[in-house]
Amino acid sequence: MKALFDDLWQVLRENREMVLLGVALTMLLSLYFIGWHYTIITFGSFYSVLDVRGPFLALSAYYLAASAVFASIVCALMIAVEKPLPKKIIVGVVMAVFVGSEIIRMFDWGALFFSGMHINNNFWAHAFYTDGLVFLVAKESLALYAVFILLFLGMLRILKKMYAYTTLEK
Amino acid sequence: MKKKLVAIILVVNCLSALLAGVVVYGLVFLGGIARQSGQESGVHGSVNSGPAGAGIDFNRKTLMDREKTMRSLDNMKEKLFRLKTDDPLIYTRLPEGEFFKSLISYYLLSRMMSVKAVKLDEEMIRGYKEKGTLLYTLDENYPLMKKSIYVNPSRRAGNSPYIKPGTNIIIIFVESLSKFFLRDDVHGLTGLMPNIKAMERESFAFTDMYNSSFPTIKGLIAALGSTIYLLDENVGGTRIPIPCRFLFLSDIVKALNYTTIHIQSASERFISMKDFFMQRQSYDCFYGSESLAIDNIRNMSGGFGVDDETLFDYVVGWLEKYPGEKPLFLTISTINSHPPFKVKYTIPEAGGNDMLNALYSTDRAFGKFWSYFKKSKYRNNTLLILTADHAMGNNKEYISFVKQFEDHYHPYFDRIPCLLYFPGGALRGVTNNTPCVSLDLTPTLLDMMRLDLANPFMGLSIFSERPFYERQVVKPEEINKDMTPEKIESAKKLLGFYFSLYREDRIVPKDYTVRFH
Repeated sequence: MKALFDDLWQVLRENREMVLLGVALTMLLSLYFIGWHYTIITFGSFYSVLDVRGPFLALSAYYLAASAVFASIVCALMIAVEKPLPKKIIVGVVMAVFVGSEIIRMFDWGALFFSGMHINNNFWAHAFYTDGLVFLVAKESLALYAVFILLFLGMLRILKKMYAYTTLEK
Repeated sequence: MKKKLVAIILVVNCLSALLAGVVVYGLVFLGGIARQSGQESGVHGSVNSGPAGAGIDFNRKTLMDREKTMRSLDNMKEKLFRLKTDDPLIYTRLPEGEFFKSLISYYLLSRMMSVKAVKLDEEMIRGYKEKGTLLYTLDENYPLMKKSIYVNPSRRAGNSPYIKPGTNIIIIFVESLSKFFLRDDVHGLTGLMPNIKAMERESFAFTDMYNSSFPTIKGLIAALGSTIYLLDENVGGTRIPIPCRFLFLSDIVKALNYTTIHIQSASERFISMKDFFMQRQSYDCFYGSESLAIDNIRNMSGGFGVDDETLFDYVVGWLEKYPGEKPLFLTISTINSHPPFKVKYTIPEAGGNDMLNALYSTDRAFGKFWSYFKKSKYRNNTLLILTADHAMGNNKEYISFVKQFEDHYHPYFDRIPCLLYFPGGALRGVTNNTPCVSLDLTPTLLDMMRLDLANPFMGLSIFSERPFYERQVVKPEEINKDMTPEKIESAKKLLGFYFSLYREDRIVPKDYTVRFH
């Protein structure tokens, strides 16, 4: 048993950077998911997080578990896949899913903030003509873009480092 | 080696997530303690406190301190008010889920839903009749059609004000104008709507009218077509092009050789409104923000559509150019008081409340029109009506304003103004206090014009028949109260009835033409 732990400790020490990148990815995803709800409750509603502490904590637990699993899967794929091209494709797919989620959350945050409703039929009816554009240039929207760009860059940086680490290691 | 690394990463990630969870839980826990100790030490309750902490501790110490007692009462009032007005759990739903659910619902379900014709049973038909709406009296396929605007023609009031057919008619629908906003005797903001108040003083008024529908398009259909457009929001509701034709006042006056025109601040493309008005409801012209904004592109910012001042400038310009060979039927819809509020002018007493400033901006814009109108060639040959499309919705600005006057908190459905400036200012200051609804506007105008025809109207003449039928007002919070399975079935049947009428275009027969009795 001790030999196994020693062995694992050795692996951990040798791959400390990769493990830290995995933790960074977990934390970034958790921040992204939980931060979304925290900020919309704080800035877009009458309430504080304390008013919905039960559902908020349950949701946070779900997001933390999902982030850990998702980050682990990404790490596992980066370690398991050896050729650079498939690895780049994995990075691309992960970034595409993340950006898709970011776009949805960006619009939904705005919809909740400006109309108090999630994206719904109302949103789709207004979405594709000029009047709907007024939301896109509000100062709150600009702050939202900045945050999402930062998260995007953070995610990209972590994945690039993972790519470099696993490729260099090879 | 790789498997071991993956296992390590999984464990470390899980541990870090667990640690983060402990931090989140700890922060929330500490926040709860801080709030509780704040309440116990008599600190005024946080504005953000809500349902979870709604219990108020009126201990002896608090009760002996008048100031603390009053603060606690205010705190409790605030919390109860919030409990009634909002659902905090909306903020804990998964946004991706809401996104895809609404996308599928909007683009697929509303187009895939099959339509089954629903016939109401005798009991329901009788229930409608008791409320003044006759069903299945002319044609089984067009259940709303009936031969007269009167349920009982012998009740026709001979002494109602008379509008000579051929008189110009202008109807202004002010966005979300609950009558409460004109009640400066209650809210104290005397400068909020001075121009509409000025018109009120010089007009005939229905003082107790509720809006029948919400939002705008339903409100316009209720007022101009005297019909409820009750398409369930889950199948597109008011967000899809209207699939049927109604009998609008415009259709009727068109038969009297009127020119019919609609001008609005909002988009003419939204739910194909322009096509709906022009192709189905006999409008000759329709101008929305796209038309109005060609020369006013800078006014597009800060909300939907163009500013109401641009709208009324356009209306005045149009009226000036109108040759007047034919009588005029003009309907106008404003937008400033639609969220996001469009604020052009501010009033200091509004305290930065955008809704109040938007209402004030609309009033200023209307004021320009009102000044023009009273000096114009139209003042002696035009019936000018000012009403609302519906009452104000339940937005943050409305809540923060009206919470000081809680008895007047009626979001979505509330009393709305209905002012009639008769040619030359006749009947100024006269009021009619009959409890009525916006569905009654078109039958009432026809009654005043002494016109009768086959129609699908659900409203009644306020002068002749509304006094015989009690108006029913259901508060939003009571809608789902005491819903037994039978009531739910009955409600579903009713929705199915309306849905099939709209989807199959069975409000008015396709070959219907306006023929007066």
